[in-house]
Amino acid sequence: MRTRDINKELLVKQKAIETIVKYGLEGFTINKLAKACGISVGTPYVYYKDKDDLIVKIVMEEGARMEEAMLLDFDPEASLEDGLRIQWRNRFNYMIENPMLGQFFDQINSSTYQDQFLKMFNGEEGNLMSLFKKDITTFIHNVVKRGEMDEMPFEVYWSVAYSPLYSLLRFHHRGKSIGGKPFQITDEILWAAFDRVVKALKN
Amino acid sequence: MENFNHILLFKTNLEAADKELLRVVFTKEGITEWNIDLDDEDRVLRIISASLQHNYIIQLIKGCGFECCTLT
Repeated sequence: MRTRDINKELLVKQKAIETIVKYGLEGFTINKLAKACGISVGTPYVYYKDKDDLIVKIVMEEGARMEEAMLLDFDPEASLEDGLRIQWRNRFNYMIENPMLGQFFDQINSSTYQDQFLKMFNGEEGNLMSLFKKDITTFIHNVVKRGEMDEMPFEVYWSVAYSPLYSLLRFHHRGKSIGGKPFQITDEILWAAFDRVVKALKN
Repeated sequence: MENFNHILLFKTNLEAADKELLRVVFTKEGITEWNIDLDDEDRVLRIISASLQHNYIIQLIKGCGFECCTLT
């Protein structure tokens, strides 16, 4: 009798993410995954139909989890500084707690799966990250309307608002900054960068 | 939620081109939920059926000229 074994299901998912991050998507197969988990080849097929089904389900599940993490305590009516601070905190916490997932999503974004997920990420209600997209759009609209920040292309906003955070996190995950200098992120460094970002965006 | 006991798994040598034939055979047998993982070296055939047994499917697939055994 087969039963749903949550631990095994989690192990399969965790190992799938790890294997894809380590070896890429192209050579990834359920056979290799089963070997990496030390389970029989049939087990992943209890939870997933095939490789595509596995990737789509993991992206959907982890996307929903990421959305929830990013929206924690986030108020679209907040001031530019307060709203952005929550975004930085949430993104920082998420990336520190899930170092593999950032790389996993990078792999997906540079693969043949990208188009499929871009269609899902179109902001329509109920779709992947639609709530997140809606709240962030409202937040930007509000801060511009209140005159806290100039209107600018979304890409300009995003680059100024988050690139410093992701650069610091990349240094941290590598353990090295520019030129191989040892690096570990601290609250002090994080919030010092944040202060510069707020200065750059705020009118 | 699908019943896990109704998931039947087989190692085969099926190819993408064999799907058409299988569709005809499976429709005749009343099997509507099935797929082959062509990315995997075991070409895993996955069938969901409440009534059919592994042996029956193996004979069915072998009868079409393909290799097929239970995936362990």
